[in-house]
Amino acid sequence: MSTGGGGSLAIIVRSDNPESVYPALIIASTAATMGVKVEVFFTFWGLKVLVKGGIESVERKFREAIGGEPKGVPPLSMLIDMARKSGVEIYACSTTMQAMDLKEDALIEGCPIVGAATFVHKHVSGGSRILVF
Amino acid sequence: MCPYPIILLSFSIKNVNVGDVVEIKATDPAFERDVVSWASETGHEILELNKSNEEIVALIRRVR
Repeated sequence: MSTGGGGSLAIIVRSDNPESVYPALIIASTAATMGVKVEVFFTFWGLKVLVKGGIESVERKFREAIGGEPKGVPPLSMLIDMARKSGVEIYACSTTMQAMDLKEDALIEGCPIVGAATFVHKHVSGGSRILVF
Repeated sequence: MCPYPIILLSFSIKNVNVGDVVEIKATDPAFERDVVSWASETGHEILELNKSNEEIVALIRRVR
């Protein structure tokens, strides 16, 4: 679906608050369906989204912040699934993994662990548009 | 619900032949503008775009 004709977008998610996680994934998925090559990097508290059980945590924060069931927003697991199906690639930050003493099997599947050099090479030197949530 | 209509449209378009038409109905008010942006980026053609009450109906032809 992402032909790459629309350029390249890197999104950094450094929080596990719903106002960071949802917009990041919605923009990621939508951009991917519009020809943009999208990669999302989860670092610091954002990495908690990728830890098993993390998705439920973010959804709970959302419900508590809104004071009820959010309407018109898909479940986070579905959002992540749609993002992947649209061609979005998701990455976990290695520095955060070490800082939080996390091993690869603590993460949900399909999240390669990368470091800053990969990010700089692909997106800074590579000339991507970069969004930080 | 956002971003379902656009995502579903993208998947549906891929599942039809070039030249075929997909019909999408959405209650998400953003869809009316979003589909125009999406079509502009992807090159597919909006044949019809109608809004009645709270439902937006779009007919999109797969161009490539």
